[in-house]
Amino acid sequence: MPAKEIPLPPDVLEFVRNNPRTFLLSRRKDGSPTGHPMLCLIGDGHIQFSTYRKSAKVLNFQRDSTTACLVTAKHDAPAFKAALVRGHARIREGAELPTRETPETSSWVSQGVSGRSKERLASGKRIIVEIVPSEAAPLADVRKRR
Amino acid sequence: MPRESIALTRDELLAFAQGERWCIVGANDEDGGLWADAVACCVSDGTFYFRVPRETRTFANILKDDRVCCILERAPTYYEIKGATIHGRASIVINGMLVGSLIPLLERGGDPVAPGSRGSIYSLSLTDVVSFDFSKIKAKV
Repeated sequence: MPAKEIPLPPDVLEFVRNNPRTFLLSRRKDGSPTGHPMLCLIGDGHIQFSTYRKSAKVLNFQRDSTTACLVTAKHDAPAFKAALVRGHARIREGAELPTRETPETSSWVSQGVSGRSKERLASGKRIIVEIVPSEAAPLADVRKRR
Repeated sequence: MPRESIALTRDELLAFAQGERWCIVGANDEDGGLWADAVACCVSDGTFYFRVPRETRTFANILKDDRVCCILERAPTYYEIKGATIHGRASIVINGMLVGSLIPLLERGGDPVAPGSRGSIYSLSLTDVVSFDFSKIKAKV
């Protein structure tokens, strides 16, 4: 996998803005893949997630930062669309919840849930996981073997 | 104080998975990274199945390392979110009778990325599963 960080291509960034439903992959201790359904945010042009410091995904990333994210349309969307982002996960200590650039997320997550998330970020119970991409493209463009 | 469990029971997991037609499959890629794809899936007789088109990178990855995870998620509203990640070694289904019985189930949604695509069917036992059901959260805000 390429090691060099790239900016998210405009078409992928636009897709992520409109589709926060994300499947985040990490590796378990034995090297096998595991996955975490998440809602992503966009902060500083990166895909970000708010999650518990003690969660399995954070522990996995502290051991092996390799990741892949499949960002998809909603489960009940008439047609399936997805973007694949591969790279590494970076743990951001003390980061604030990014301004929600995903309108779908802000209309769907209640203010109560969002407020609790902010409080727990401030207390350190939650942290931000940021994706450092080295590859990103619509899934349909890269799905076939090389 | 023990953390509240919001995991699906075995029966809830089966009912949830039976209703899903697509899943996200995660695999180790030959380049050393992780790879994700979306594929057709079904449940039959308590076993989870998914179908991978042969021309895909996921198919090539599974040939080299059969350890996979399959992720299901449904989120009508925040407190109705349900999800499950099934882990294990993908085992190719070669029994013709079984394949024949699974095809109609897999064709409910067909391949999500390339409709009309066929491929190899793999099984995963529902033994190593991490799941959650947000409706079980007691302190809703």
